[in-house]
Parts: sequence; structure tokens; C-alpha cells
Amino acid sequence: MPIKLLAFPYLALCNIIQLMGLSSIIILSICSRKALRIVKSVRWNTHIYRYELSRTCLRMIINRGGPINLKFGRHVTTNTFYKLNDEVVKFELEKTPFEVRKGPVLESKNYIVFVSMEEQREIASTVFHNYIVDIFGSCSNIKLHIKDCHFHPPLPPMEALSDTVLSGDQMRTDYFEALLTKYPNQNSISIYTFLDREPNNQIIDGIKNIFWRTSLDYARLALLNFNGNNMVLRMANINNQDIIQFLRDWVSNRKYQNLETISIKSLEDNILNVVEILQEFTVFNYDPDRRPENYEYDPKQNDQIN
Amino acid sequence: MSVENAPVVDVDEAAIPVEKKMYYRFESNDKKEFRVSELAIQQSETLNRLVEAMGYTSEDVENKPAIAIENIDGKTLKLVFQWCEHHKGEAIPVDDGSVPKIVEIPEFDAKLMDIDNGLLFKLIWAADYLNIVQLLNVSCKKVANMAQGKTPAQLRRVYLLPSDEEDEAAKRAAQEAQDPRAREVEEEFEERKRQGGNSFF
Repeated sequence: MPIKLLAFPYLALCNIIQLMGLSSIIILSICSRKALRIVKSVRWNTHIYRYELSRTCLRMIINRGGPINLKFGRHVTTNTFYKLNDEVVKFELEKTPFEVRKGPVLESKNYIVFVSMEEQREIASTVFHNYIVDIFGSCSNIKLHIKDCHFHPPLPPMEALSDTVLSGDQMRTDYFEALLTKYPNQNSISIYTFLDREPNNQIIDGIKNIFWRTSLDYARLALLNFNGNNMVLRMANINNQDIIQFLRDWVSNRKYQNLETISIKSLEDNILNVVEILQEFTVFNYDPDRRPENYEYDPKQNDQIN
Repeated sequence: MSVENAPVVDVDEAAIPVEKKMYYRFESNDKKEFRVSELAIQQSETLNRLVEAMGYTSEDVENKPAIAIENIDGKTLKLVFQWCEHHKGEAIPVDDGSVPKIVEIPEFDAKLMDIDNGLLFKLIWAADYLNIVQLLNVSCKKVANMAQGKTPAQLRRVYLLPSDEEDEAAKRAAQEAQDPRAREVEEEFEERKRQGGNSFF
């Protein structure tokens, strides 16, 4: 037996919509113009968008709910990966075609995905992102996790992208540079993938916090060109002279005025000689009266998505 | 506690409670009377304010007529008071604005709401009217769950959502019902526009 949703008092109606899953909210919004108006009128209090971009899917998570999955199919209508509904549901947003399907057979029966044609993935991602922001409101906290960097998925245009995580086997450096050109001035970037060549040394200029797990030979470039607040370099192929140069510039206040913390771990066969480094500076014994024993590091500075 | 054992008492089958608690009497719009404990009433902001304002003593409760709740029927009110009795003393949730809202439906509530959608509809209206926050949350959650895994066409059927064309038709019909002359004027205006007239008058 059906229930007349629009006959509920307005506050109860808003409550019902707020309690729905995000996919259901999107589906409700495409049912009619009136339904869209009502969905948009709900107070959403959006404080974070998370996007996970992979070869076949753009997954969107708003606050802690979700996710909404936009899959990219080679031929939308003949894609057999999804269990067909009784009716194939097509709809358009800004003249871009989408379909609503049940999720992959192995997943929950109630799992809904939105499908777009692979050749339209860039425009479809943009349109879908705009549609979601139109409903849930804009927000300055947008996180992007590119999962399969080696596939170089097209980057959706998102204003105010604040944090990025890059994972996968290997990424072309020109893709990495395009990403940081498109989304400069980010709060943080976390790199778990390998680059195929050294990036342009200006490219990390606007990033406030960097966690680079696979810095290797590019650690030197990152270290000497960093203008942000916190930096973590792992697997760094770096030598004593680089560290000495960095420390001189930092201590003399010539560079790194924003720097608060730095952590470098070198490759096992590249062990830094602490004694040799310290010989270059006037050093004092640690004085607990001058500096606290522990520095309170906020892990959110490098807010990783996974 | 099972739904059947919830301590809402129809007056004709009730034993007078042994405890020295105050039990208020309420009457639905179809003249069914209920006794509800003071603590259970606190779940409803509306009723709680009402009884506070009335300032009844134990004698008043027995001697004065039952408090009438004009727009809720006995069947719905019984569910409401069963819910309030079961959850009496529990903290009333505060909406922190988090989205999506996280609401779990407890087993008791699920059984209580194992009802047809017509009654569920009335229950939500009652919870909204009586301002019972958590009952409204769980009952709305039940309606929200109906959307899970549905396509737009299925959702239209489940929620009886009119299409854009149906909305337009209903709007036109409402306008015509309100002012039949307005439609005639609109048609005349359209006709003149088609004929290339610059001015209506």
C-alpha cells in the first residue's frame, strides 16, 4: 500500500527526506520538479564532500552518508554488469543522459547506481557534481581520492577542492602537474603512487600540507621548494647536503616561514649522517623549560581519505 | 517489553495503577479515553506543556473531564501512548543538524509500527502535532526506508508522487476552480498574441 509523501506536514516531510540514503534522495529529486524543489528546500548542513575517482566509478560521499555511485559504462544500455530493472530508467541532467540501475549482482539488492557513458565521463562527472551541489549546497571542504592513478581518470572540475589523496601503481607526472594546476592552493595532498619523472619544481608551491609516501628522488625537490606548514617525506632519497641546506634556510628565516613540522625517513640504503649534519650548526642540549617534550601534531593536517 | 504489554490503559479495561504516580486522562476525537503516566507525557512537548499549564492535582485528574485531543483518533492515540509509556524517562534527542540523520528503529518500535500505511500516516501526523521527537524520527525513518533501492517510477508509485504533467494539470484545475474568468482571459490573451496583436486592451 502506498503512502502519500507530499501530504505529510512540512517538518515531517523534511525529516523523512533527511533520513533517506543519498541515492534515494537523488532519485526522489528526479521524480518531478516539485520533488526537486522540496528536496532542495531541506536544510542540509553540508560540511564535507568526499569524492573517490576510479577507472569505472565516481563515488560521492556527503558528510558521513552515502555513497552515491556514478558508474561509467562503455555502452550504457547493453552493459550486462548490472542486474536490469523491470524498466531501464533514463533521465537527463543538463542534456547529459544518465541511467538508474540496480547495483552489481553480487552486491545488495537495494544498491542503486547511476550510469553514464564512458565517453561522457568528464561532462557527466561535472554535471552530476553540479547537480549535487545544487541540492546539498556548496561547501569549502571537498576531498578527492584518485584511486587508480595509473588509469589517469579525467578530473572533474570542482571549485574549492581542499584535499587530495593519490593512490595506485604509477602516475604520469604530467597528470600530477595537471591536477595541481587545476586545483592549486589545497590544504593537503597525500601521494601513495609513483611518478614517472620529476615534476616541475613550482608545482607544490600552494600546498599547505604534504604527505609523500613515495618521494624517492623527488624528495629533494619537495624539500627545497616547500612553502607550506607540514611535510612528511617517506622513502626519501636525500643526502646530508640537502638537509644542511634546508636547515640553514629554515633557521636563518630565509625560507620556510610557514613551516611547523617536518618528518623525513630516508631509504634504508641512504642513511643520513646526523653527526655530520649537526657539525654544521651551533647546537644546544635539549631544555624542557624552553620547548615542550612532545609536539602536538594534528593528523587532520594531512587528512587522508581512506 | 512487547507491544501488547505496553502499559497504556483503555479506561474500560483498566485497573487503577498501584503506584502513587499521577496518571492523566486523555480523550481521542472518537471518544476513546486513555490514562497516561506523567513521565510518559514528558515525551510529548505539546502535552507536557499543556498539563503543566493546567496544573492539575490528582483529584482534578479524576474529577475533571478527560483532556480532549480533537484531531487524533483512538487507534492512533493508543499507538502514541504505548510508545510514550515504553520510552518514558528516556532523553529526548536533540537535532544536531547532522546529515544524513542516523536513526535506528528499536525492536519495540518496529513491532509497534507493523501497521498499514494509512495508520502509519496518521501516526506521523500525531507525532508531529504532539511534538514527540523520537517517535517522529522512527516513524519517518520507516517511511524513508521505503525508498531504498527504488527506481524513480517505483518511488512515484510508493509515495504517490504526481508527475510534472499531473502537477501542472492540478494547478490549472485549482486556478480554474478559484476563478473561471481568469482562464478565459488567459485564453483570450493567447489568442490575441497568436493573431499578432500588440495590446490586449
